[in-house]
Amino acid sequence: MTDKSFVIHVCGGPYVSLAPLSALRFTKAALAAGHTIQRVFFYQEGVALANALSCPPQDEINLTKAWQAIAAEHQLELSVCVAAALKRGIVDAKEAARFGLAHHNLAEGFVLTGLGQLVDGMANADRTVTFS
Amino acid sequence: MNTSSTFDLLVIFTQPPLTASFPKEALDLALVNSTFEQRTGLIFLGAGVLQLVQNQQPNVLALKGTQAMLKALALYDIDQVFVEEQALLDYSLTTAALLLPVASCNTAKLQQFIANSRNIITF
Repeated sequence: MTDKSFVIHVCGGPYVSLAPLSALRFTKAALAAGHTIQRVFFYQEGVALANALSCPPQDEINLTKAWQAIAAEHQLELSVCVAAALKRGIVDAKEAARFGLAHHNLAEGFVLTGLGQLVDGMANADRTVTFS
Repeated sequence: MNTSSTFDLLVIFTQPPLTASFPKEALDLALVNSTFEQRTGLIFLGAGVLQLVQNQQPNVLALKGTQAMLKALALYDIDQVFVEEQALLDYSLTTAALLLPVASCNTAKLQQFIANSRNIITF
């Protein structure tokens, strides 16, 4: 089989859906099979993965850290829709300054971007797989 | 880009209006996709057709709604909008009663659009 490039589009949030975990497992399997992950894009409730302040119990998987680890290992881009993130309280230092907020919480390794990154990914990758 | 497909992105709307952020975030994606000169199609399935009902008053609930965005679709060169024929029947609606020009399609036609689209995202 020829290697393919994928965009992973995560719409479902942690704890309300299995989407972030399924997406993570799919990403690992695709990489293990020699495919390329062009970009991971977090939209809708999926932006909650980028919250550095989430503290699940220690005997449960920490999905934010799991995504950070796989991104660091394979140099994956973790793009987060800025509009979806802002309204759900996920902000980086720059947006916190812009909105006069006292804190910011975007987890390391994630970057706030626009929907154009998803559109660009869909246009250029072989497949876009949505997890919602 | 695969020119043999009908749409680069087909956005499928399945939720009634004012259902959380689904309608708004689906439209945001469709508009950005069209801005990037990607061929964009919209399908309203099931309760999703209720998003197209005229004279809604989301302001009564202190909500913004998506009617203004829907009316602006043509400005973004999005004119390929389809509704499920059965959904119109289910809700006693006709295409003339909706707030923008749409084509009513049977299941076979909708399946064809889905089969011929390069990417599909359902909201």
